[in-house]
Amino acid sequence: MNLLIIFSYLDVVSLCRCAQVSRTWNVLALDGSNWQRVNLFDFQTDIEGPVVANISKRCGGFLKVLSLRGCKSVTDDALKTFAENCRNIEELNLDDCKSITDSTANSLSKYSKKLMILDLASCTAISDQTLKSISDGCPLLSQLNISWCNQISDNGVEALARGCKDLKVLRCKGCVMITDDSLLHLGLHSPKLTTLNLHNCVNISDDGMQDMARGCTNLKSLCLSGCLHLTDKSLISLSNYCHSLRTLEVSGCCQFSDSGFQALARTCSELRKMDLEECVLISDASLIHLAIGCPNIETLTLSHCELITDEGIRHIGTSACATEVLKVIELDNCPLITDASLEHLMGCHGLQRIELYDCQLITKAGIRRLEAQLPNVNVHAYFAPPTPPNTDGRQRPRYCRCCSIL
Amino acid sequence: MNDDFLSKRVVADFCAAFRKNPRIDEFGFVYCPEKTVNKSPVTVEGNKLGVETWCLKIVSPFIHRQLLSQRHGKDKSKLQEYSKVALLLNPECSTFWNIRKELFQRKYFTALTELKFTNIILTCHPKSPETYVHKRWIVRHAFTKQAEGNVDNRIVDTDEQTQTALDTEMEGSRVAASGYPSNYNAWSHRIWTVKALARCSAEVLESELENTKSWVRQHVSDHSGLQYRQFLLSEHRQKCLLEEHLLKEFQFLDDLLISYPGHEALWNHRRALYHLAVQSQEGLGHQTEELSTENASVKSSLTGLEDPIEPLGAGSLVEENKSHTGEGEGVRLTSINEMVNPLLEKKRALAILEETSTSDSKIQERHYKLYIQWLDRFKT
Repeated sequence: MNLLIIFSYLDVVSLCRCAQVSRTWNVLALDGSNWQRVNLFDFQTDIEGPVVANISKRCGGFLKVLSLRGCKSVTDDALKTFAENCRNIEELNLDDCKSITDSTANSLSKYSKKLMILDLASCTAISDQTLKSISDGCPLLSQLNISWCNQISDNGVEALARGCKDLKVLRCKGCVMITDDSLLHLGLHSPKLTTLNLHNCVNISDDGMQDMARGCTNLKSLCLSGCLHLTDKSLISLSNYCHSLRTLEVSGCCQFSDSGFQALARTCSELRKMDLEECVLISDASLIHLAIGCPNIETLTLSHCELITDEGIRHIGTSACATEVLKVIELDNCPLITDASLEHLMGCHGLQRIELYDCQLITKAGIRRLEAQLPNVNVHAYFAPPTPPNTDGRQRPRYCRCCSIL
Repeated sequence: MNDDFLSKRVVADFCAAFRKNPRIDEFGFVYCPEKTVNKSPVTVEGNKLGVETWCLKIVSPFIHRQLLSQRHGKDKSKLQEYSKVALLLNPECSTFWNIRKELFQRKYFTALTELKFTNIILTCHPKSPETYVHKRWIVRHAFTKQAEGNVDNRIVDTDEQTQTALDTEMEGSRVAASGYPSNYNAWSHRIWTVKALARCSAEVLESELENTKSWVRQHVSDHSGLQYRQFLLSEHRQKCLLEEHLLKEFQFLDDLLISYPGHEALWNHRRALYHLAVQSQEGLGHQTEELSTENASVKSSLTGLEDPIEPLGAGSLVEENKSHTGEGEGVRLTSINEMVNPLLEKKRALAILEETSTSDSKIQERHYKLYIQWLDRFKT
């Protein structure tokens, strides 16, 4: 049936329209196999219980991926019907479904044994009970997002860690009740963890970080932005155990200093993306260590690191990552940076974007010279849109439109 | 493309400025045609927010586009920031104000915050009609609904909040009135607020009369300010209070007319006061029959006072000039009947003319003559 194959490419709205064309099309369009992946984001507040119930009855066992992101009116009952009907669900997105409570997790736990990816961000009504249910009933869970669910505490995370041994991705942005206890349990029970996001979890400390790092040695992406109480000890723990680290976001961790990054740079050579915004204690010494130890850096954010000078940038510019790998460097609000830094970065042929807002010693001339050397780079500064680089009087080759097609 | 990033950065700078300086109370443009230093165009000095003009032609179209495209989208978070900046730069766009109304209904910010924000806009654009319209909408939807019996439990209407709102509005109108001469929009908004928020309660009328006294003294030619005082007086429901205030007002006006000769606004104010007094007395006259005999006796005693006013030539007016006393000795008023007696009024006007110093007497004379003509035409 060619029509069925064609329909399998269509989105929800188109399928519904096709279903109104004729009886044959109706049967084919509403065939469960076309409804394996359903995304209802565009309908949001229009989606209420009956809609979800209908979809779940229609799709039955075919539905694998469902997104109800932003559908604020969806209730626990609707999801109970859904869970009963669609037992093969693998990926479920309930981001911003504010009406959801622990009862939904209960339903999922009973029926959704194949659930692997679950997003419950901003479902502020849920509590630790949700995590306990999930850990009981969904052993295959590998990705969980509970950001902004501020009732979640250590008990829930402990249950989750014990129950879902395959957990790879855990995002708990803004879960302020999480403390070192959670990190201890993650370290003990979640060795497969690769992504951990603890943005704004202000109550964690160095001890918890050490426990976590010891157990989660496969960690690739870690976000600790806003965790003000962490010190260099955390960085040293990471350097001891998490050698696969690729992304490290620690903006706002103002206690981190050169010694921490020295340790980190020694062992974590896989680092690709680093966000060090507002780590005000770091100086050129950190940059020297990173330049030596991390040859894979693609994105480096140093906004508001006020001690950085041209010397540190010189080391970055001559490091192993500089020539081909470095793509983005953010130096906004570093007041000591001058045109000399731009000179040092002229060898970075892979550079795509450089941020220079509020670097008051940078001049228009300096930027123009950089753009002449690296024509593909986007320089972001407060100067009005820059004039096009000098073409040395060479005529630009001209093409008419038809020639380029020919 | 670079423009878009720059615009986003400038908007971020604005938001950071508001976040770090919650007490910002004034906004203005800093003339700067060309950017020479790599520094943010948004500056905060003390509690004053300024933006350099070079970035406007880049940022305004960007924000405009973003607001119109994202308005009906699902993600409302950016709308608040963008609309704030857009309205600071150009408050005359109703669409942006409507976006803010929608955000207000979704409780993205409180009414008081919004009123304070509009006050900031008024420091830079004191006559902006759209701003006043928006203020009135906010006040209607946040503070007066409960009074009308619509129970909307989103809105908490405590007396304290209403009082704060009232103070905020008075302050905003005052600043706007100072920002532009005879700012009709600001003063008529003030009148509306007194009616809507304070429901013309006696205490508010009293305090407002008191507050605006010094302002009027410093802005004698502000027609709208004086019109506000006329409104305050006319709203007095109790006749005795009104009488008392009218008396004081005439006194005050006499001082002003002498100190600041030749201001049409003041003479107009006098006309209005006279009119008010006459209206009030008519109200009194209709009340009871008993008073009428009393009035008759009062009137007869007054007629004894009047001297036939000789037609004075221009020369004698100048000769009559006494030294400028500063404080009007004038005829002290003691009752409303004295106020409305046209002959007495002419005499008082003449006294004012006489008190005026030589250098300004010509111009004062012109106003005096016009006033006398008006009195003659005035039919009770």
